[in-house]
Parts: sequence; C-alpha cells; structure tokens
Amino acid sequence: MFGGSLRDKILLVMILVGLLPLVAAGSLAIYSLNVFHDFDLASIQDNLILQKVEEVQSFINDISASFKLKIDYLSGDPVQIEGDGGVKYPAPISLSSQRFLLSQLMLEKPQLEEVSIIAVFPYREADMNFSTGSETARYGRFYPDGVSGRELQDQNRSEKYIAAAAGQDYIGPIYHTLKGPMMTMASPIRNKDEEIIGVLSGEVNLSEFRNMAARSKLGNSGYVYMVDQDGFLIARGRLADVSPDDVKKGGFVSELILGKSFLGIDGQSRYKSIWGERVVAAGDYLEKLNIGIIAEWQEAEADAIVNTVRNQILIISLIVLIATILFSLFAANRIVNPIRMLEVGTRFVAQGKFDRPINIKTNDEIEELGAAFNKMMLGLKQLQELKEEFVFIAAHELRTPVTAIKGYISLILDGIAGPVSGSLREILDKIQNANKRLINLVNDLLEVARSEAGRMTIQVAPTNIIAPIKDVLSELRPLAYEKSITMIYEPDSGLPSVLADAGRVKEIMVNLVGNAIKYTVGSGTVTVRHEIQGSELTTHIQDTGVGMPKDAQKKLFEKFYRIQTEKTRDITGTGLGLFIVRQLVEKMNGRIWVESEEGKGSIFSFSLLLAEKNISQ
Amino acid sequence: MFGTALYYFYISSEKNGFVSDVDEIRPHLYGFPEVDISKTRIKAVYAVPKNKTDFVYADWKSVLEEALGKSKKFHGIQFRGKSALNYDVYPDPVFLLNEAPFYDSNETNFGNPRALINIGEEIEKRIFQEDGDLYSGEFSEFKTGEYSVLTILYEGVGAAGGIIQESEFETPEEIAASIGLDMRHIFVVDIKSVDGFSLLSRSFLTEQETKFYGESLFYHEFAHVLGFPDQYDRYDIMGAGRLKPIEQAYLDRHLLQGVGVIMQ
Repeated sequence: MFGGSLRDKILLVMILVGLLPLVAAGSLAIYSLNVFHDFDLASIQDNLILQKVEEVQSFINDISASFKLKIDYLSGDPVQIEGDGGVKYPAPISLSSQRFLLSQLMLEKPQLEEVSIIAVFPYREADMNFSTGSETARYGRFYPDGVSGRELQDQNRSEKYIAAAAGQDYIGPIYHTLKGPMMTMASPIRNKDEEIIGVLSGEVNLSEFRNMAARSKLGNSGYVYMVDQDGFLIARGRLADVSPDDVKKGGFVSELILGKSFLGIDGQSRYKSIWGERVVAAGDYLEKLNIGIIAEWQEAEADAIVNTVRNQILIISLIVLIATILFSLFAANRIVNPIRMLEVGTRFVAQGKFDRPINIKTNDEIEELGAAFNKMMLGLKQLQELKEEFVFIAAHELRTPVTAIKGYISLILDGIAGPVSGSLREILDKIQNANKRLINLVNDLLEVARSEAGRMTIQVAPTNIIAPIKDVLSELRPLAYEKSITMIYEPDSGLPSVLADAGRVKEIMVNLVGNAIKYTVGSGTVTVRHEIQGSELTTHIQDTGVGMPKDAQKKLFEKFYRIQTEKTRDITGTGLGLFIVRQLVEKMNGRIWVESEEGKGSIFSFSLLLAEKNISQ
Repeated sequence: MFGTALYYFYISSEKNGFVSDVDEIRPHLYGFPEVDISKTRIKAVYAVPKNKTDFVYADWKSVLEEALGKSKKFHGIQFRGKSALNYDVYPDPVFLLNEAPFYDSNETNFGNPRALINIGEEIEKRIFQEDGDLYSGEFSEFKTGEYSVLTILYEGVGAAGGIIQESEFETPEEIAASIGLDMRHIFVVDIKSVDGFSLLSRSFLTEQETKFYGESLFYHEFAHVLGFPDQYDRYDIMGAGRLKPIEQAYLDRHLLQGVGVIMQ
C-alpha cells in the first residue's frame, strides 16, 4: 500500500508517529483510570463497611459494657448450703437487688429482650434454694415484672453459663425470632474482691442492624446487608424482598462466612447479585460476633463516571486520530507537491525545454531548491542557445568549403585538370562520396539548428501532395531500381488538399521513402498510400525492410538516434533525418508515428490537416 | 404434664407422605431426608369431649388462628423461607363421641399420647373419610406434594405430637427395634389421611399462667410432627425455650442442620 509513493510513506510515518503515542497514552490513561477507579470504589466500599463494623461493634460494646457488673456492697453474711461439705462462698447479690438491677437494665437498654442472673454457687434466700447454674431472676419484655419459681430455668449446661462462670464474656451465635435476629450475651458478675458471684445473661435484639443497613447508601443504587454465621440475611439496606436463604446464592457470602475478607482492591468482587444486577461488592466478617457485612453497588452506577471519562477519552482520541490523518495528508501533500513540480521540471529539462520555470512557494529550503532549479534551467537554456548558435555557425561555415570541394572534385573527374587515371578516379570517387555524406550532415545540422532556433521557414497552404510525392518517388526510383525494390504509389486523383508546405512535404517524403529503400535489404516493396481519418489525411510509407524492435521505435524520432544492428551496420546516416521530419510535420500541425515488426518491415505514417475542413472551421 | 415425645405409629394403609429427590437439597423431616417438607399444611380441629360441650371456649377459633398464624411466621423464619406452612381450620368445634376420660389416660409423662391417638382416629373416621358424619370435602382435600398434619386443639388435657409412618412390622416392639427407638414411643394407629398429628390443650393458649408461652408450646408439639425431638437440656423451642413467648423462640442450629436448612 505504501510501497512506492513518497507521499504515502510520509503519510504512514506521520500517522504512526502521531498514532503510537496517542494509542499508548490512551491505553495508559484508560488503564490508569480503571485501576484508580477500582481503588476508589474499594476505598469507598471499605470505608462504608468499616463504618458499619464500627457501628455494630459499638452496639455490642454498649451492651457488653452494661453487662460488666461489679458489686461493691454485700447484702449479708456468706451463706453456706447444708450438705456441701462446709464450703464457704462469697455473699450473693440479694434477690431484691437482682430484680432492681435487671429491671433497670431493661429500662436502659431497649435492645435487650430478656435479662437474667444465674447463680454460680448454691445459696438460699427467702425460703428459696438456688442451685449452681439456676436462674435466680429473669425479666423480659413479655414479663416486665419478672418470672419466679418454676419458670426460672436451669442453665447449668448452657454454653453462656459455662463461659461466663469461668470468667469469660460470652457472645452466642445469631438466631432468628419473630422479633428479629437475636444473640445471647453473658458476662460474669464480680464483687469488689473480683470474685465471681453470678452470671448476667441477656437476649439481645439485633433489629437495630436493620436501621444501620438502611442508613447506608452508596450513590443511588448501593446498599449494605448483613448475614449471620450461616449466611442468612439479618439486615438489608434494600427494600426489594428476598428470601433469607437467597443471599448465599449470589456473590461471596458462602466464602465470607468462612472468614475470608473481601476488603481492599484484592477483595473487590464483581458478580450478579441476588437481585439480578451486576454489582461491585466488598465484604468483611466479624468472627467474634458471627456477622458478615456486605456492600454492593450496581456496576452501572458505580462505573458511570469512569465509563463517561473513558468514552470521552475514546472520543477525543478518535478526533485526534482523524485530525492526525488529515494533517498528515495535508503535510504529506505539502512536502511532496514541490518535489513533484521539480520532477516535472526535470522532465522539461530532459526534453530540452528550458523556458518553463517551476513555481514553488513553500518559504523554506524547497523553495530555495526550486529557485536554484530555475537558475539551472536558465543556465542550460543559455548553453543550449550557445550550442545551437555554434552548430548553426559551424554548419554554415562548413557548407561553403565542402560545396567548393564538391565542385572541384567534379571538375577533376570531368578531366578539366587533365586526364584522370583509373586508380585516381577510384580515389576521387571515394572522396566525392565522403564529401557528399559531409554535405548531407552539414545540411541536416543546419536544418536542425534552424528548427531549434526557430528559423525554420514553413509556408503552410492548401496543397495537393500527390505531385510532390510523385516527384520524390521519381527522384528515388533509380536508387530503388539498383536494389530491385518496387515502389508502388497509386493515389486517388480526387485526393483532397491538405494544409502543408509542398517543399517540406518533399523533404519529408525524401527522408521516409529514402529510409524505406535504405533499410530494405535485397529486393522488396515500398508502398505509399493515403487514408482520410476525420479531418486529417494520413500518408503511410510501408516497406518490407528489416523492421525494428519496440524499444527502438520509442526513440526513433530523437536527435542522433540510430539503430545499430547486424543488418543495419553498413547503412550510413546522420541520425538527424527523422528528427527533422518530426519537426517539419509538427510545424505543419501534423503528427508522425511508426509501426514496425522486426524482420517484416515498417510503416511510417504522418497526418496533415485537410485543407477544406480546417480552413472552414 | 408438659412432657412430649416423638411418636411413631404403625398404620395399615398407604400414607399421604411423599418422597423427594434426595440429591436435591430440600427441607426434610428431621432424621428422614427422603421426606420433603417444602410445603406443609396443618388441618386444625377444635375437639371437645362429649361431657364438656357446655365448656366450649367461645373464642376458640381466633385463639387457634392466632396460634396458627404465629406458627406460620415462626416456621417461615426458622426454615429461612425454604419451607412454607399453611393451614386450614375446621369451621366448627368437633364434639367427640366419648367423654373426656375415654380420651385421657393416666399416663401423662409423654403429654397424654392416648388422647392424641383416640381423638386422631375418631377425626380420621368422622372428618376425613367420605362416610364420616362430619366429612367436609373442602377441609379434607389434600394437595399433592404437601406434608399434611392434623393439629388438634383439645378441650382437655394433653400436649403431644408425632409422625405417622407405615411400617412393614406388626408390633410396636418390632417397629421400635427396627428404628432404634424406645418402645414407649411407638404406637399403632389407624390413620391414613395425614403424615403426622399433634395435640395441645386449649388451656395453654388461654390460661393466664401459660398463655404467654402457649403458642411456643403449640409449635413445639407441631415440631414433633416434623421429627424434631425434645431436648430439655437446651434452650430453644424444643427445650426450655418452649416456655418462653414464641416471639423469642427459635430452633437450634443443629436441628436446622438436621432438616437441611443449614448446611453442615
């Protein structure tokens, strides 16, 4: 595609030079944009999740703090249970204090559904015996005055009691109730000596998590939801209904609840959510609380900005690309056009036309080159004029002596200067032939010089060319006869006149018929015929001579060109005849051409304007 | 009095239960993964012994529907939406053919199973069989694919529930031996319309002392029909939690694992 044309090469280079940085910069920009965008998204989602983590933690910490009871007073002497081997226990909290504590706790912490105190050692109060692990008091939303007697349960084997009685805070797994998700929390109750004197337990309603999730927004479509240790939904910030089980069907919840974090750029995930939309998601799991928090943001909105910017980059890149191509085209043409003008100028020079200066206006070195080229043409023109002048003068000056030589040799051969012996005559004949060739050369040079100097005189007038052609054929017949060549010319007597100079037509015919005879080796035929084509009369001179190759036909009408082959080696000539013929034909507004085939002969044709049609026009 | 147990009954005819594709994870009976309980329907009846017709609880229907409504919600939450519980209530009290002593027994350790069996068999004949004197085509219609349960609100004493399964064995001893259960939990009954049944004394839902946890007990007995065993040493609705309001009740995770709701 760009193999041959300089313009195309320049275009290609300029497009590549412009395009490669553009593509590289565009790709880098889009890549960077995506990376930074992902970082930004991860950061936004992480911040939201960490904020929710903090809120959840704060919620739990608030309850946990209220569970850390330290009793600074004693309600009485230590009580010993009969039959336990005389073991002494710290004083327990009195039942009235327990009930007061629990009722106040229920008032202060609306998120508590139920609170209870569990004995960590056996004791008796108010005719009631409490064994280790049994509830001593319990308050709940459904029994605000507390429960007593047989409704108090034995917690001896419960995990919460076992942990808290051992001095540890307990947070149980999330369970689901009609009032919402809940979890069990328990902590030891200590006295001022740091001895554990009971366990405080509570059932915590986690419905507040729903508010936490509902308050969380990411743009218009982003939301947060929370899941329990089994991946079931406990809170969601999206109104659309969904089965509590469905959240595990989309995304990474099943991995999240195994403890894998989905925070940061590495944790960011994209998938189809349970609501059927493509989302960008992040998540974290609070192992101690058995809570997973997930933030999802619809891709369409989350990526809206980056998509817009990316599209803008692509559009700008496209515009720059088109501009680059257009500018490259313009620049390539601007560079190449002067070079083309120079190339045209060189063609004129090659044709010897030095009077056609080129006009390059680029205001740079190329314009200077154009000016130098014009100067060179001017110099060549002057040289040509000098040469023509020289040739004209030289030919003119040579003509007189060679003509004199010719005359004297004729006189000698006529015996004016005395008898001429056979051998002397033979020598003089050779001198005379050589002198004749010299005269022909001088005449041709003079003709060429005249033509190039514009001094060739041609008087074009309506002319019937039959007579001049017959004169020429008659003149050359002896020559043809010598070579046993038959000349055929049978013109139509009604042949129309042409615009021509009769004398110059004879010169043309002498050259063309002479060549036909000269280049016909052995016997043959030279035929002259006419043909009317449109407004022209074409004259064909056909021979059965040696013919010529195609390459030679193209240069045949150039100055000093001669075909050098085995068959034409002995044929003499100046190489100026056909050049002169073309000059003559063209000066009579005609055309000349040749068709030839090697070994079969040639047809030289020239056309002249028909007098009747062209004068009337 | 509150003691309940898991019962297995032998019946002589084909049962209504269906077998699910075990390869598909679906909620199923506890201990019986082949029995799908994705759709469960309660046929609820208020049964009054002959000698207590003057003591019919006037608001029995609203009390029963309240308990059923809460059980439906509770069931949906516990099963995480994987199992749907629906119910139909027989429109009138069913006056039993015999007096209370006929249905009750001295054995109350397991929640008066005799009342459950006697009343269940009578309702089977009178309501579910086409030639029964209380037969109702609409009430007795069972949809294909539903796990069907007869729940009796009893104007007497008792709280019990259990699965009805066909067995190739003839005696309770043989059945108990084949499934590895205590023989005291196996009874032979002649009920073919439902896959399980439960019974709860009306008083639990209305008496001041018990009504705040009565609905929990109602679901507790129904849960036996799903195969859940008692676990009195724990604190969910199958244990101590049955004595708490149903709003605070829950099913233990290991029980939910046993019915395919939570993965192991």
